[in-house]
Amino acid sequence: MKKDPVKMLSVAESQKKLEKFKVKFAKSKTAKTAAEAAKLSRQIGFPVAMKIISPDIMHKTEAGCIETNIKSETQASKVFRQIVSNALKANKSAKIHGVLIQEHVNGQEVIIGGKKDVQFGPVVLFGLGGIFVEAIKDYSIRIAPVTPAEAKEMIEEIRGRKLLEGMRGKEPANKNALKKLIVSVGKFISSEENFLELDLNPVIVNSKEAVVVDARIIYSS
Amino acid sequence: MFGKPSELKNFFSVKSVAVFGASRNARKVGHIILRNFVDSKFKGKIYPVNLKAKVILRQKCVKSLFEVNEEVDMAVIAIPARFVPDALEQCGKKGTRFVIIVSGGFAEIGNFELDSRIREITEKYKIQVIGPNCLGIFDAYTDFDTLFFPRYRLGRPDEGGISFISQSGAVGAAVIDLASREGYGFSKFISYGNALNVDETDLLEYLGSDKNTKVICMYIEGIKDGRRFMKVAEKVVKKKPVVVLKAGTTKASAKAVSSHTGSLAGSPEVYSAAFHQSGVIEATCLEDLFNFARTLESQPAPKGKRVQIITNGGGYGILSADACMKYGLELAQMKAETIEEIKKQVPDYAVVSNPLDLIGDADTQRYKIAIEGAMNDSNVDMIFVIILYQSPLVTPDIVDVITEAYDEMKKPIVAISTGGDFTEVHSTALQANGVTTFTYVKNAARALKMLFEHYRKR
Repeated sequence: MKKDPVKMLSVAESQKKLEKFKVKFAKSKTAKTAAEAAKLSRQIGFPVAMKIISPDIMHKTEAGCIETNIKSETQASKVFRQIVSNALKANKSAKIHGVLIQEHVNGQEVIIGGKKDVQFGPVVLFGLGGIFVEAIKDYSIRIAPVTPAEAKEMIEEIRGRKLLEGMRGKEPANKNALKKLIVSVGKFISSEENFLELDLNPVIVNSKEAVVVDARIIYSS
Repeated sequence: MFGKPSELKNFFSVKSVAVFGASRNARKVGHIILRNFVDSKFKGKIYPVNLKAKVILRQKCVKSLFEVNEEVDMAVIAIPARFVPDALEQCGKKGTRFVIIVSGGFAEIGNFELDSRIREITEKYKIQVIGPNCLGIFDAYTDFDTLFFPRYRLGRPDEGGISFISQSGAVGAAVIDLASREGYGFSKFISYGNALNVDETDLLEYLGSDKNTKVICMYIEGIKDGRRFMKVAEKVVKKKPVVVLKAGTTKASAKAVSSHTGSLAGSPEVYSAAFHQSGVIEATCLEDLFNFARTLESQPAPKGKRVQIITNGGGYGILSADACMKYGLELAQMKAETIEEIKKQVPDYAVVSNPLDLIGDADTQRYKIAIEGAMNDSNVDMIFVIILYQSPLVTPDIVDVITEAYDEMKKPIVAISTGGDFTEVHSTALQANGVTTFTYVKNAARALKMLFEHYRKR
């Protein structure tokens, strides 16, 4: 079967679209030089995470283009150079738009996804981050848009829901913020033309808020 | 489809019918369909269409519909696929707007050319088609059916409240046959096959407003327009429960779906979500579908999920308690005054708790006391009565005791009995009185959990 051509939005573009739906993203800035990386890291506040911005590097972790827990300006400059060099090693003709510097948010990792189903159109997916969705298929699905009650069900339905309730001394996650985020995503994907797929992965949820760390949206063009 | 789904009622109220493929050969599908019309209570005109025969089963044949002077309301087409376009043309020109195409050999085997040819003809003449590749319809109230199964092989159930929409003919036929043996009442059965222009959603909408239908069952392999289905289902479930069995939920079976009725199996999780969000009850197997439907048809709404188990066998009581817990029900805690009242009237070796064990020598009177106690106790939401008929002290009037309690329609009460022929006779008698009976407690627990969930959302 011939695959339809698709268009993938960058994190920044995704952020711009989703913020109109009151989706909150982790604070981030783009550095073009090592010196700028140091300066912007300080402005955001340590620790920070850094990640290459390039449409040509698909598997960023494997290529050594993501680094977390950066604690100083010196380290930030060093990591900047390392990430850019790793990117070019992975793909020497890679177009590099810079390095994303992002605040570090503590909390439970979750995933909110969306896809267009052949029979039912846009559907929302929710699951715990990391291995949970892929390895043990612990996720819930609803046809979009979803009501707040449906979003609540989605959260309560997963087997690993206890992890959101503050196990082993962790503070409980703000389920209300999570619920609102799921509802927003449902609204967003239902209103987008040519929508194919959305991946908010990870979203960090803590006792205060639910914050998107990385996002990807795909459209059929 | 072309008109409103309410027009589908015309399929069930025709006054004249033509049978393309009516044959003298008693083994041919067309012959059986004709015979079933002739043998039924159907009082209308029957026109066998056959090029050679003059008379079949005492019915005068015609070579084409054009030989018929009067109107022909409906046609059943059971001839090889390549001749179907011509038969449809005849229907179109004659003004026959309701057609059931039993024949297979279209989209389901990849013959899309023939499929689009018949589609064009039906669009040209605005013919509503059930099928192709289907069994057609059955109505227990009028005894009218187009099923090509002889009545001695496939029993037709009595009048009742369950209607069944089935993409597959075989699944539907088996359920009908089973229902007829077990004595469960039916309203309408529609096998719609490839859904050329009448699909599952049209049928759902139609049965939603059919007054004889109290519960709608569906067996589907795929849905054409998911959003439309949800919209219609949301409306219908406000009037009556809808139970769906979606087939093709595993990778292996999804492949078989496309070669069966030419539909896409789709993602099972998405289907489940859609059913859940539109208030449709999902059954995961044929057994559930059947059990859910008859439970919904006959039981009142429970206030909660606390079950009181009443038994004359201790082990069976424990198994029942396990099943209740496993499938998401709770064990009721009867009020102190109820327990005291029951204790006063039963021997002191009976265990008045939950399970309430009336002990192996329990007679009908002991059951009556226990059932009345549980029925009038507001801490009890539903009652499981386990009767092991093997005990010689259980007399046949237990059927009356349970039926009387059931007739109050105060809370769900089901009877569970595992056993042989003697047991079966009593269960059938209870079932005939409307009481839902089960052979295995697992099925009772699953059905009542479903009942609770269904009414909780109302």
